[in-house]
Amino acid sequence: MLRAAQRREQAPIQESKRRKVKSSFLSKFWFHLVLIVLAVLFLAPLVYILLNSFKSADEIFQVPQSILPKEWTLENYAAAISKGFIDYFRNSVVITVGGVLLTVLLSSLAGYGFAKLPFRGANFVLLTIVATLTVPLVIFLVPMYLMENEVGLLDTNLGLLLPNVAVSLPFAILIMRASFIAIPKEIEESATMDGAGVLRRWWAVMLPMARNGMVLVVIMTSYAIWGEYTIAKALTMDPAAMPLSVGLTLLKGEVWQYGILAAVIVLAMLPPIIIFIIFQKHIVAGVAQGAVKG
Amino acid sequence: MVITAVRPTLPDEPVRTRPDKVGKRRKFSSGVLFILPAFLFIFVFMLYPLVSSGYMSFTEYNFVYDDAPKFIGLDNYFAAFQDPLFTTALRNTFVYGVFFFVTVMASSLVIALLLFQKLRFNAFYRSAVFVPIVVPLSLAGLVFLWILQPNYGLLNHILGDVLNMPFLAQPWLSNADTAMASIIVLGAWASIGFVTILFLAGLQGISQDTLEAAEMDGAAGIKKVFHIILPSLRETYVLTGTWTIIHALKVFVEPMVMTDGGPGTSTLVVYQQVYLTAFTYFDMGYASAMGYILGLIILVLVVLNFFIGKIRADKDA
Amino acid sequence: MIEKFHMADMVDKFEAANPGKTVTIVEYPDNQALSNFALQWSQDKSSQDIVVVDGASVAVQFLAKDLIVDFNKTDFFQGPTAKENFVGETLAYDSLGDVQFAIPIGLETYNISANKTYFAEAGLLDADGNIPEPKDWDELYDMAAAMTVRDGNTVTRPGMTIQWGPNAVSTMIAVEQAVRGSFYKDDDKTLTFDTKEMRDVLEVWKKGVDAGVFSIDTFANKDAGRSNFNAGNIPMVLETAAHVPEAAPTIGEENSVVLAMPGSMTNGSYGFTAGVIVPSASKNQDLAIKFIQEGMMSDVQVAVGLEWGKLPVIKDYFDQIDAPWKTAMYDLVKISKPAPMYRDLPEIQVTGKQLLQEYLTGAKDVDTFLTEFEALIEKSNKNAD
Repeated sequence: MLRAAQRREQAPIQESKRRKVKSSFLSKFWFHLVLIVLAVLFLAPLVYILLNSFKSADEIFQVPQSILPKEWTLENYAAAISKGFIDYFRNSVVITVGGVLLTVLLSSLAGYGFAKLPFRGANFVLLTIVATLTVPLVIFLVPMYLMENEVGLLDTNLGLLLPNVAVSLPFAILIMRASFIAIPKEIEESATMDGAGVLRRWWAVMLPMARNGMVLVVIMTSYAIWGEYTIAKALTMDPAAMPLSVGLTLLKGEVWQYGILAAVIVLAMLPPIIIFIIFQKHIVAGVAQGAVKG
Repeated sequence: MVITAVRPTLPDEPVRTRPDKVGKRRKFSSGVLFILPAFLFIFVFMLYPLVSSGYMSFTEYNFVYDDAPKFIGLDNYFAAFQDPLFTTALRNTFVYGVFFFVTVMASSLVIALLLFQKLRFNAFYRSAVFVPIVVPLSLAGLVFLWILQPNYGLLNHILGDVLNMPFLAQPWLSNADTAMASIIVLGAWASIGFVTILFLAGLQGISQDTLEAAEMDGAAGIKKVFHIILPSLRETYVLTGTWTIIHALKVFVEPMVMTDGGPGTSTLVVYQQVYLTAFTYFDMGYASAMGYILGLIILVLVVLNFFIGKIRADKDA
Repeated sequence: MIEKFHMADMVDKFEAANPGKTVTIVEYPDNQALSNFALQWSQDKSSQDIVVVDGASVAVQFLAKDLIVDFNKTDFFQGPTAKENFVGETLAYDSLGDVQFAIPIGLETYNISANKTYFAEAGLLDADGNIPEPKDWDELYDMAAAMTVRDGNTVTRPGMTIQWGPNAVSTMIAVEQAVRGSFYKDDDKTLTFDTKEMRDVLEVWKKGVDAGVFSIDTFANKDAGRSNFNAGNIPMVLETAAHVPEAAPTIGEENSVVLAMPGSMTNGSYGFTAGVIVPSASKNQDLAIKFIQEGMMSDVQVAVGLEWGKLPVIKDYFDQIDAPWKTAMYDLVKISKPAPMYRDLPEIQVTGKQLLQEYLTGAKDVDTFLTEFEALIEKSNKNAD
């Protein structure tokens, strides 16, 4: 550990090597300690649920309980999956993927507009958009419901996708706007001199540089839509059209059977966690890319 | 110092790009076109309902019993401030909001700074911190509810049987103070990951030049953090602050799942009161008015946060 | 609820008898969906032909704009489903004046579910090995206290759980009906809890909470008592007694007992049913009524009663039930009373629950609590439409 810490430190250290190594070893110890404690706190609830999902019903209520299942069982997963889970899952995927794509596209257009193509009243429009974020969604639900009932969007994937995009957009626009503003004007100006039109500049020059913001928008929007509950509950009444967040509550039955609940939660978390693991590198790369442009 | 000049990012600085007149006119139209699609979306699904419920807030309208909304002016707004349930809910929302805001902003910043050190096992730490954001909040609430159960919950088990301190074990959600603390913990657990990502993005955005300049000046350790890094994060504060204020005061799912506003009214928040009034009592007029009051409070705070960030940055530049 | 009412069986039965007709069952997550339905109905559209509502009295509000069908104006009450074939006063649970806004299904009433094992352990059984009926709340408290287990100063197992969560007001209504024979003022229509009898009960409740004899975990989790009872972790639970059969598989049929709470055998308790309603906007009303008659009011109700304690509303089927708790439950159901049909009952339930919890946790004294509760009832709209 000591050797490793030293080795990693060597490159950046320029002066007063010895003193610094000592102090940084100490502080690194504390850093690790804090991070380990935090990691345990953040992960404990999830690990607990994961383990409980493999326990039988009797074992879950045992007092005092054992952390590890005494007998591992898959019965909870079988029960969770047999009940319409696949439908909910498919709906969630459609709504989330479609919603994220639309949100990224629209917010990077609008963010660019606000950041680089100022027009009169732009600030007012921006403020109006931000204002929609501040009011509790519940009071929108009745007008939304009546509107969708009118055009037949209730109980459809599209009927959930569209309002989700609208709800995600304001903050996504703020993020994209911030990342476009951070791009030095010289870069775009040189592209202008090359004769590129505004749409081309946006697509070919600016968008790749704003990847940082786009990654953030993807993360934020996909998790927000995947877990969205209020809108979905109001605008779907038919289980065949429900996403996981609402459909899962139907698995409750009379009383939550905790084992099944645990399995259900694990299954609902799995896809986002997998996505997270796949994109983990990109998230870091996307974020780190900001450093280069400085 | 040189540093902040490279950080142009605060909003409202359109003056920077001021090319010739022709260019400006073209920008005028294309700017609108870039914004239009998103705006239409927001208009149809948010602004129209916003205006529609804004009108309802001036009416008496029970959508199950009444045929049409009846205009009553500001009565709903006056009624709200005399309604002990609303004022209690408002107070609880502020208590939650303040603790949530401070906890989330401070922890996320510290965690981001720690992760920024690129220690060994960084990938693991990072994943651990980020993972809660992928759990749908309604389900996370059930998990916490379960962990906090008095007799078969994990927390009391650990306190009583593992750490051998049974006097610390208690019915967490049945006591006013610990119930509020519990929903704050859930809120923070679920939110810190995302805010940390925003801070990390901000940190990564600090230019290498800035950091190196600081290195040359011999600013080390804590000093570097306070004098160089924190001031360079201003625009990130605006973003994280906005997000955190909105999420702090629009809290709903946490108390709904874990405490249903109880015990008594000790964790009843405005959003939940709005929800109850709209969908259990069907009183859309009054619900809209309460929603609007909350919205205005949030808007004021968000704008305030925006300008504090802006003024500080201007002073610095 | 679909599973609980064996609705798939009802559908099979109906579809077999009516070739060419199909019935689709869809579950809705909670009562918020009802407001969605109502919105749709008010625009004269309906995706449903029949809705089964848990706690039929909430359906009364849909009468206001004639959103649901009055069964008295249909030919529902003919043949096997004629009015005289229903148990006791059950039809009255779902009617208002001369309007029958819902057809009751699955009769339930509030009482105590008891786990005999713990009574035996604490030496509380009488000479015949039965649980003696507590005469008043003091006696009930003593029983619960005797079964409370402590580890030092901490209670590791309370003696009893009372439903003080979302259904707290229903519990108060049930308890007051039992101890006093009514939950109304002298006018027989204004709900009141500020009575001598109820004050005595409230005092015992507070004492029990302070001593840890009565658990308060239902504050946060309405199913806490029930889950614990089913798992065999709590001696007594006061809520709908329909849950007793549910616990039989885990704690043993001979140990799951319906225990009459003080006064309920003479005065009754709070009774309720789920209700079947038909939206006026439905295009298939005749078929809907046929389905209720043939599918829902069928012998399927016997199995539902045996498994879930939700008793048949049709006499013939009620008589087919054979379970140890049947007689006690039947006597009780016959004299139990439905909730007041107030337009503002939902608000009384939510706010009343908050007030009660504040009293029980010591945030309000009993006088403040009752004064505020009476004021709440006073200002509520007590009409039904």
